[in-house]
Amino acid sequence: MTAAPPAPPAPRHPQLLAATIAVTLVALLLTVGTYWCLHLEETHVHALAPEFTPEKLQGAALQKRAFEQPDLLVFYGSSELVKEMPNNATQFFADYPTGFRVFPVGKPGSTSLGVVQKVAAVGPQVRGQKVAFSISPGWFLTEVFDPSFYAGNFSEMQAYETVFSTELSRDLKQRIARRMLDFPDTLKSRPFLRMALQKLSGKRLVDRIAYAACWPLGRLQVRISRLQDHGEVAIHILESDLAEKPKGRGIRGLNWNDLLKKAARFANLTAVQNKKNEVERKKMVPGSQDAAYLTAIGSAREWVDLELLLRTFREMNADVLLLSIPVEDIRLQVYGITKASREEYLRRLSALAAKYNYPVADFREHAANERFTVDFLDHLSGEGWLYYNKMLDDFFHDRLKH
Amino acid sequence: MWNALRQRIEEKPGLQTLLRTLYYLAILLGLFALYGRGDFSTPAFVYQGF
Repeated sequence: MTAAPPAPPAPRHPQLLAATIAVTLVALLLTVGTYWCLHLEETHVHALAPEFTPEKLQGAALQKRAFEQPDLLVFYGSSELVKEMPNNATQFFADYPTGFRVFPVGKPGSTSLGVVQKVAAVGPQVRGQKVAFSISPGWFLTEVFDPSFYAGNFSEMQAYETVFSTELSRDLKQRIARRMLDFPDTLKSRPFLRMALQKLSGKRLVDRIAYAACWPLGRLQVRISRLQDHGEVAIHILESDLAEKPKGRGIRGLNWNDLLKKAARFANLTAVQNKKNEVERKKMVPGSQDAAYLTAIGSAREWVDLELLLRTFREMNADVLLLSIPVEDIRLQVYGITKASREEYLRRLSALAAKYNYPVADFREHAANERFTVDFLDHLSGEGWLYYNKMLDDFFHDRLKH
Repeated sequence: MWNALRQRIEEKPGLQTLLRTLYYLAILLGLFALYGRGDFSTPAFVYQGF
């Protein structure tokens, strides 16, 4: 009778071995999953270009993929991008008429401080890339913009990316942090983010040390948010009925001279009449509000935020085009201001753009055209969009005279 | 019956490790399922511009 072979010796720390295997498997799963998500983003980014979903606006993964595409032009702005209008850049360039389409990012109420965080969240993908930014003059005609608009566009993920950015200088992050702290409602339920912002904005040595202590946890949060971002985009793609391949393209070489000659046919006469009615209803005495508006333009916080955005673009080495919706003559009438107020806005905008050496299209030559916008809230008309589109096309194809 | 099953498992360290690994994996995946998704929503706000 032979003795049974001895049982193999048990590992010394069986729990540790099992935990190591489980964690390794999860890490492997996450790595493979992330690559799969990246592949999905890559193959669907063109189809997702016209969307204004939270996955696109509040995350950064899709914006990163858009910056990587040679035939997409990322275009930041606000409500004008979303408003249904003939010739809207999203529709106008939908079939890549000159070899590219616009990738709009923005929704009602987005202002410069929100865009700063979006660009910071995109990070190195912005470097050396073309990007356009549409400016609404209405942001500068009031000292403080409605804080609920900022809150309505706030993204925790983008905020963390900004605060713990490795791309931006400390001084710039400090200034951005000070502005973000002006909106405490967005930080109420986010104590760690609030603390990091407070420490980052502080000037004392103890603040620097506390911010440095926050850094590892902040970077971990950034990593987790990025994984979640990829996951959300993947779920969105799988739930949407999107075509795998980009829709039809047709390079047809636009004749801008012809297009702009016929631009007036897109005039929305009802909108123009509504604007005239508004002027009649308000009956403002020309110049009666100049002093108030000049004070508002002089002290508008939006200037600070716009400069932060331009600094962010410069530190990212981006190739930027600024477009400003014109303040039409008819709008001066409804506000009770003279051309002096408008000049002040244009002067400051040009000076800021010149400081950072970025081209700005302010369409001041169209001020007398009351058809350029459809209301007094910075929404372009079908005609106005054509001028915007020409500028975007010239910018994309390096035809802008700087 | 449970005692017999336990004894059989204890006799095989490889099986023990496999079952432990699956147990830890189930915990980790459960945590991912519960807390893994990010919140990319924004508070609703009324925009008067349209």
